This record gives sequence, structure tokens and C-alpha cells, in this order.
Amino acid sequence: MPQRVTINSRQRRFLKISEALLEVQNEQNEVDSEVNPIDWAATATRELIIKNQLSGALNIAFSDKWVRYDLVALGKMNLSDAESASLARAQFNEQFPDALDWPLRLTRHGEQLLVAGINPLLLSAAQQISVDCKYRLNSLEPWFVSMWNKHEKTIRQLDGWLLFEEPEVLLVARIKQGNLVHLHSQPFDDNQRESSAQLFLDRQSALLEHPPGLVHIFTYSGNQLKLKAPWHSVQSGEAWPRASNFTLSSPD
Amino acid sequence: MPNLTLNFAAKQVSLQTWNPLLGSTILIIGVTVFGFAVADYRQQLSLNSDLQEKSSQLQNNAGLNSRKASTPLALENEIAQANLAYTQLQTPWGEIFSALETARNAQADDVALLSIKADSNKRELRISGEAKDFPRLSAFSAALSDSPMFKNIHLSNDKLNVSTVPIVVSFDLQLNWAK
Repeated sequence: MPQRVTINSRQRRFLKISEALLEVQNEQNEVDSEVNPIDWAATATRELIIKNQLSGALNIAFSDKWVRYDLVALGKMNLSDAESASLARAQFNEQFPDALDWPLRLTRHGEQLLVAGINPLLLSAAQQISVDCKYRLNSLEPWFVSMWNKHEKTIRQLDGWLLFEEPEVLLVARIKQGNLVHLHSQPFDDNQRESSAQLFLDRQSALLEHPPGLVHIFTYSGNQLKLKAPWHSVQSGEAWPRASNFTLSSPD
Repeated sequence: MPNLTLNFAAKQVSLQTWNPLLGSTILIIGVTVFGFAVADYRQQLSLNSDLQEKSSQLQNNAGLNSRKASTPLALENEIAQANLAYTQLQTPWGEIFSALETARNAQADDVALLSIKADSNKRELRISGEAKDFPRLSAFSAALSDSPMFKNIHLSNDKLNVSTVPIVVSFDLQLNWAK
């Protein structure tokens, strides 16, 4: 279990305003490798809430490490909610047979149906935090979604590649005329972030048969991510999802 | 481009984003049309009420005018009838019978009067009767002429009636009575 939770200077600045943004951090050597990362994040978050005596509803953005995405191309087909749910569940289970009992949420985006599944342990932990701290759980969404919605106006103008970098997780998205047409995530080694990102992008480019080029990068840490040619990176936006009080993440 | 709505703290939102909008739009249009229909109905109802009131007023006025128009006619008729009754009441039946009786008495039983008709407006008498012969008829006519009660005596009809026994002369006399 974590012995200490640190809040960096930027997070302290956010603490002064109502939309406090906290990051659960810990030092690598203080984490028991036997501890479930979700339990760790939940415990750390609970301690932070109690320690800082924050008030208001909880808006939690959690790591995409605990999310699975599936993008279903619907075209112009109109489906009922029940049909969409059935189709999403069938596709998701086929894609992720190890996540059959994961709760799903669906959102229609242009001609695509974005399906997201959350680790049920994380959902239970977040709901338990809400109960323990007597806060209403207003929102619980992946960091990628928080960032997308925050920068939606910017993304609307884009056409090409997007890269979202979180601790231990990379997400690559393809945008065509402002619409999401491809989304893929994969874990990566934080110590080799630039090379991992480069390799990930190369693979996605080859897979989609779409040439490399300009990449708009959104990083959780705020640190610049430099890519080698033929990729050209543009650091876009701020790292912190405005709507979230807490960001649940696993220990570094 | 819509936001991504993937909130695991809430239930799955409906993906039929056009449905609530369409439904709301239809609802708003329906409510608006209904409102207009109700307003129009009320207006028509009010208009109908006004028209009925005006119609009633017109009918009342027409009835009044009709009564006003009919009143002189009725009065005229009533006045005419009253005048007629008055005129008839003014017929001097007593003096007429007295003068006729005097003239007839002069001829004893030789002249018989069968009917007397009076026209009060013209002060005219029509007398039908039978005489034993023409000289007695002439004497009766002369006796009437002598009476100050009568004037303008004309023998409008005379006929010797041979089919009866005894033979008589039927006659019609026309005369005016004096004021």
C-alpha cells in the first residue's frame, strides 16, 4: 500500500480553485508489487480526498490502462439503443475475450460507434470512494475521453494522427474531417516513451496503410514527446482534463 | 462533431440523439398548432357569439319595425271597421221604416215589401216588393217621393208576374234617404 501521496506544484495551484486536479502519485520503491493497482489507486484517492477536505461532486478521470476500446463502423445505418448495445457487446466480447463481464458504455461519433469497457473492479472502487467520502460520483470517464472533450474544438479542425500519452498507455487515433475513424491503445514502457511512441505510430501507419506525417500529441505529464521523421509532432493543449477533480492512475 | 459521452458513473445515454430532438420539435410544433387551434376556436366562438348577438339585435329591430309597420295598417283596419260600424249605427232605421210604412199604408194591402237593403255609406236603400198592379206600384213610388225622408227614387226593375195567382207586379226600387 502507498505510504505517501505527493501533490506537485501545479496540482497545488489547481487545489486553490474549485476544480481541483490531483494526481495520485507515488514513488516506485514504495509500492508493494503484490498490491492490485486499482486498490492502490482507490486507496490513494480516498486518502487524498480526506486529507484535502475537498467538497463537491466527484468527477474522476481514470487511466486508460483500465479501459478497452472498440470502434464499430456503422456507416449511415441507424440502430436502436438495444441493437447498438447488442452489437457492441458481441463485437467487444469477440475482440476482448478476457473482458466478458466488463461494463460497457457506447457513444456514436459520426459513422462510428465507440465502445468502451471498464474494468469492473475500478468501477466498484470508484463507487466505494463516493460512498466512503459521502460525495456524489458525478462522472467517471477515461482520461482520453476527458481530454478529447476538453479539446474537442481543436480536434474538430484536425485531420490525421492523434497521439495520447498516459503513464504506461499510448493511444493512437485517426481523424478524418474531424471524425474519429480509428482508435487503438497499447501499454508501453515509460522509460522508452519516445521510441515506444514512434514504434507504435509506425505500426498503426502500416496497419491502416496511411502515410506518417503530422501528429498532434496530448500528454498526461505535460512533457514534450519528440518523434523522428517522417513523423512531425505538435504538442496540443493542456494535459489536465478540466472537468475532473481526480485522476486515478496506477503507481509509476 | 459531438463530444464523446462515456460516463461510467451514469447509465448509458440514448444514442438516438435525433429522436429527442425530433420528438421535442414535433411536440413543440404540436403544442403550438394546438395553441393556435384553441386560440382560433375561441376567436371563432367569440365571433359566432357576436354574430348571434348582432343577428338577434337585427331580428329584434326587424320585429320592432314590423310591428311599427303593421300598427298603422291594423289601426287603419280597426278604424275602417269602427267607421263602418259607426256609419251603420248612424243608419236611421226608425225614420226609414216609419216613412216606408206611411207610404205603404196609403195603398192599403195592394203593395207588399219583401226586402230592404241599406248602404249606409251611400245612404242608399234597395227595396224589393210586389204590387197588385202597375198603377198601385206607381202610387207607392209617388207616395215615397212625397215623403221628406226619401229622394232620388228610381224603379230599377219591374215585372208582371203571370205565373202566380193572383197576378202581381214584382219591383225593385232604389232610393236615398235624406240626412
